[in-house]
Amino acid sequence: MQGAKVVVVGASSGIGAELTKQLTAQGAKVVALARRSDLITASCPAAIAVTHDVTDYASVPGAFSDAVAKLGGLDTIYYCAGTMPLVAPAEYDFEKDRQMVEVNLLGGIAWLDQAADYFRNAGAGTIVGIGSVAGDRGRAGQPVYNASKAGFHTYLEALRNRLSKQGICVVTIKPGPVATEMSKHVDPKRVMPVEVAAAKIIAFSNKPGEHYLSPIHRIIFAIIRNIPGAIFRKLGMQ
Amino acid sequence: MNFESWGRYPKTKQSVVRPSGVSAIQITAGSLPVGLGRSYGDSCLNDGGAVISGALLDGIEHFDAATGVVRCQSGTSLKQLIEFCLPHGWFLPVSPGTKFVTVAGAIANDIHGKNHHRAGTFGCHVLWFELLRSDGRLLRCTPDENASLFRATIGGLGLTGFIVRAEVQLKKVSSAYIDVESIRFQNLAEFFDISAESADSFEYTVAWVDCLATGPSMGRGIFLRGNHADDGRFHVKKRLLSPSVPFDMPPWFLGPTFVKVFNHRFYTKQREDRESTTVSYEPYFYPLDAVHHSNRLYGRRGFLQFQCVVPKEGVDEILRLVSESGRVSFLAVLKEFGSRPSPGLMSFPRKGTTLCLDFPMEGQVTLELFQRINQLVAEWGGAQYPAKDATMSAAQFQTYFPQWRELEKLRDPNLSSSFWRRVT
Repeated sequence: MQGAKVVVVGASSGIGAELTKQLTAQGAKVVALARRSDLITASCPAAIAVTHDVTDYASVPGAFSDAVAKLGGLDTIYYCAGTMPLVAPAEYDFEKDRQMVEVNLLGGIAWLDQAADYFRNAGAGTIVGIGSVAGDRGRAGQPVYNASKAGFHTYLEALRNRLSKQGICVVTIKPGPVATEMSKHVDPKRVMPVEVAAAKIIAFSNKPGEHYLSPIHRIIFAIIRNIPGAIFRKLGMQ
Repeated sequence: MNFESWGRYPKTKQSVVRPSGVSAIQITAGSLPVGLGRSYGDSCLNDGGAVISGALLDGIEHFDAATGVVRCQSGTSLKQLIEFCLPHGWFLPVSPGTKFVTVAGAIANDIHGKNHHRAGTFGCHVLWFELLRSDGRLLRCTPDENASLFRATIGGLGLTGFIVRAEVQLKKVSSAYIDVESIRFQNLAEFFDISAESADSFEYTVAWVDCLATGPSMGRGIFLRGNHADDGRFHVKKRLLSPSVPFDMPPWFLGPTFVKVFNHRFYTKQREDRESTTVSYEPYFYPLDAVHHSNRLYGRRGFLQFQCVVPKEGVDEILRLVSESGRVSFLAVLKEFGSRPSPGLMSFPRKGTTLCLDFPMEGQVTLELFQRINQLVAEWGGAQYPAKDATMSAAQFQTYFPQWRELEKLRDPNLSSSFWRRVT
């Protein structure tokens, strides 16, 4: 990581904040972006903090080229911005739903389109997108969060298929519950510490493909992905 | 499809309609809205008519984890509310003895729980609800808007209309676990001492009484008082399978021998007079929910539950009557109600001591015992809980609830119940 030029989008909290900390500690030069950039400055003064809203799509190309200019190039980009508002089991609130698609999916496309084009011209580079195990099935509890992450996974897979010939590495990370603001209502016993999650993500960053963060998740979600729909409904998995 | 009340007495015949959506609800003449059928007597029965079940009308429509306000359809069960909201730190403001109760049922019976001395009834925490009348009007009812229907529907036994959805203020808690202290008491005087001493410092209080004990140990029991633990644990391990009573037990199953052994064991199992433990909300609030169809333990004839509130001097006399009758109550619960008024017109809880008993239905002998208990309650100026009643007379009901005529005026003309026809 020494001297690596890295962009982290969504770096004020959760996985993005921890990645920024660990990457700078390992000697990388990091431009870290978030709406609340003061939080980045507070948690990781070594990073170059930039205020940015991923849903301000028109500003993404400018923010991307500014970041590249600040770093003097780009080796790796992490897209970590994500939101999961509390949605009740019988709630259909388009504003909440739109917010998830705008941040989790469209923001990712806006940023990674820029990165893909840049890396295609450079002939090298790494794209890491933070998806979720929640994108593996459509569940009663979080229809649009599931859909936004599933859409993001499919988009990343397609980028991988487009860019692998040029030696560009596209990585999809599917974390389960991680000890962040987003999972604060999840049983603490089922939650992975954010430090562990970030370290694993960094370790997976040069391995193209989809990665679960724990070996057991690989098995569990292989099963879950393959349960027939009628049985999945009967099981009532939220 | 058969529909029974939880006590399975009386036996009635009514057709069951289960609308699958709000707009499918049709309030035909001679029907009654019902929830999950956990009322014990005939307040959820409608002999010769129809019941409109809200069981399919479940769904939490909005929950604000910052304020604890939850909006849901009326058939949402308390179990669903707890399982969705508790991980965010919010619990039911008032919890009955089973979580298999719908929100509409909780409103229509204005249910109470172990924290009545602090929190009042469920109705105290209802912000608004929508009420569908048989003339097709959908009325939003709040303490200020359609106020008389708001009041009449809380504790209104489902007679004012079909509750479609409601918004409830949940209670912020520090844990899903309860620190429980159990204290053995030798007699009723000790019960009242402990109850008085506990009211200010314990959120939940209730006592179990050994109603087989006679003479000087009459009224002995175990006082259980608790507060939410202060440990921030909001997750409880889910049981994958809950056992179920597969068929009706023979009528003698919960007979005197069983109850005698059980009571003795319950009273003596704790070695110290005071013991403390921390348990999750489930065994604490809903011990009987652990076994599905536990009402089958009483056999095919069912059982009669009885709950009254009387001045504390009256408890002794009722317990004496029961213990001398030779009939045994498996469950006997004692609690002092608080003074927080309910917005409900027909709310049952009122200042005094509430006693809850249940007896297997053994025909005439049981009914005669109930007549004698009912008389005592009336003499003491008490009241009986309609949700648990199958035996009180019209005269008794009208004495306990003189405001019933106001409910009768606001009753939806298409709605009625076996209970209402019996007592009015």
